[in-house]
Amino acid sequence: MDTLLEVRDLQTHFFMAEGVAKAVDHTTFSIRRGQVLGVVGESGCGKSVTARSIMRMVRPPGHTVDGEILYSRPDQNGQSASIDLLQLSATGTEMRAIRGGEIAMIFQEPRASLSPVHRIGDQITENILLHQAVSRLEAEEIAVDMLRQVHIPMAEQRLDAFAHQLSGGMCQRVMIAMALSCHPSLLIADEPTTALDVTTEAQILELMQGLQADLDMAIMFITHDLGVVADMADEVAVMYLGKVVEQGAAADIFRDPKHPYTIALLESLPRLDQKRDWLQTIRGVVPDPYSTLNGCPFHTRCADFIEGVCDEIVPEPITLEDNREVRCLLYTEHARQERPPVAEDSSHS
Amino acid sequence: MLEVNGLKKHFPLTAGLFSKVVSHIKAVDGVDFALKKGETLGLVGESGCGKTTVGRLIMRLYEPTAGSIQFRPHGEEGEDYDLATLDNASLRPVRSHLQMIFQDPYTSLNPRKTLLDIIGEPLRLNGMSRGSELEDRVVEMLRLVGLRPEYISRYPHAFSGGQRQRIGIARALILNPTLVIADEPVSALDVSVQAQILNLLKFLQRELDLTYLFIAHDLGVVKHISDRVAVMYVGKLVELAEADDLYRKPLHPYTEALLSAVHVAGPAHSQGERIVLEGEVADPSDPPSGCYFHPRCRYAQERCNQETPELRRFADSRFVACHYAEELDLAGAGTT
Repeated sequence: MDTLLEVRDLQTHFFMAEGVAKAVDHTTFSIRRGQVLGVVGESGCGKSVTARSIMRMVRPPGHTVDGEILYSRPDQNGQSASIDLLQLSATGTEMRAIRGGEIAMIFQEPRASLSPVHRIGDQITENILLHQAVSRLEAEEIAVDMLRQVHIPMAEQRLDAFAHQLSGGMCQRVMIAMALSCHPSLLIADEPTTALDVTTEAQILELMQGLQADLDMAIMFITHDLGVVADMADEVAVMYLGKVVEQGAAADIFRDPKHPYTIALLESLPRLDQKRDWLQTIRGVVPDPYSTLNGCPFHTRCADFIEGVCDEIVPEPITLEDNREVRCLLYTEHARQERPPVAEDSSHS
Repeated sequence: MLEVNGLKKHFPLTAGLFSKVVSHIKAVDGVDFALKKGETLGLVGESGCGKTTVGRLIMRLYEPTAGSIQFRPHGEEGEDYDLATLDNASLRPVRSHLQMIFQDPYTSLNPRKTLLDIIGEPLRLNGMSRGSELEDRVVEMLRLVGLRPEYISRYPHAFSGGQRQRIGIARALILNPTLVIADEPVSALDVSVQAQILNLLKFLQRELDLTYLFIAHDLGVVKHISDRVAVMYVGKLVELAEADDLYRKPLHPYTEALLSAVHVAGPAHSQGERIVLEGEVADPSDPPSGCYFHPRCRYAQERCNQETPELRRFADSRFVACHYAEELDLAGAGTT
């Protein structure tokens, strides 16, 4: 297993007047080289803050207080060496070389992420000049080539365009061209298609899949859309309240979800392939970020809540048979001691 | 109950010092459909296709350029209004039968007013009740939409997105409307909250015998809530059918492409072939000749470039605007 990025026990907290919001709280996951990891969860679950922590772009009052982000890259001898991004200075030369170069990011609102007062050609070449030893002319050639790769018609002319002259889908293509211009080994895509229409979304996803295969890069695909993840990702991490509650191969998770939160999320979706009169809902709401909950963070809303267990013991990630990591006490000793498995009871009757 | 015929809305595009009208954006360009009492009609399409404008025209938040909107709030034998031509004074009594639920629960509620003011305002404005009577009605509405009566004196900032949407629903329903236009009511919400609101809307429909015009872009949501579905593209309806029929076997190539772009949250084998449309949605101020969809249509032929297809009856309850609907065999999504 060729791990490109390993996040261990990452903790990013926001220190606010109301208290400390643990946006990312002991998050652990890994991304393999050339693979697509889908990160899903509802708003406020910490998926975007995790991405920003990796890029070292968390602004005060947010701080990454603990954890490791191990990024492996070839050193001078061609050997693979891993460095902890959290040990680097966020504004230092090394981190600046990685950010935008080896690890690139695209955002949800493509038009807001582009400068409204600079021509898109200048914005792309700026990034290339920053990360590669090329002349201005060469950088422009690379920019045109990238715009062609993301299927922007009349690429040369478009260098002189401003963001407001392009549609949302086109702006997202420009963002992708900019992100990929330095051949990153990891692309972090934070809700890249959420603001786009379905047919435009289909175009962008198709483009990303093609480029991912061509350039052999890994993608961390952050979204709230379980359908998009099912289609795009090799591996899926489900987040709830700052923690990864389940991670495993996409095929396995969608076929047989293990964590009660994953199960509930999938059940609450209106589906084209099934007829349901009423949708399953998850009771309650996501707890206030400043509150501290004992035990499992999901226990207040969980359908399988066991009193005296789930509200007291903090679940640790455990690995199940198909290499699936689940943070749930139902799969541990604790649950068995407290109550006999329901399945056994019903088999006798 | 509602019959829309040849509805058009053209927004003038102006230029220059004297705001000379240079052309028109044909936001809605000849839309016909009818709504039966107690049913839900889903209206889907991409942004800019005119679906919100249709909703607002029925509410008469915009003046229609042409067409008629026949509205019979009390069924066949009751009064018959043409919403397109009524003047403001005669609209007033009709408006209480028509209500709207908006997309963004964060901006559609006044932050300076309490729930009593927000939800009770329609009653107060129509002079229907006041004082403790008004308060009782608001409490009743809060209970109905699943909010606690104690919340009555709180302000909107204290509520989550899902709760705010419930407040918006309570405000819309307090006048006992017959027709509710819901414009993307769940698209700003997370999936688990979305499910709660969709269930609530379904429950209220059965309880209060409501008719919904449900405007949305999410085909999964629309299928779940709708009895019939209308698909819109650049100001025109391209297909109208029973929801199950439309999803199982679409007749218009645009519907097929939309359905293929829906991702099924299931194992990889459940994903169908994705049809990626070339180019972008046509410009409503300068639409292409013939069928508006022909530059992006993979089945387009010579005729599509010249003749604009009209929405025509294909079978009993199915309508389609495509010259070749009989010949094409298009793929649907989902079988049950």
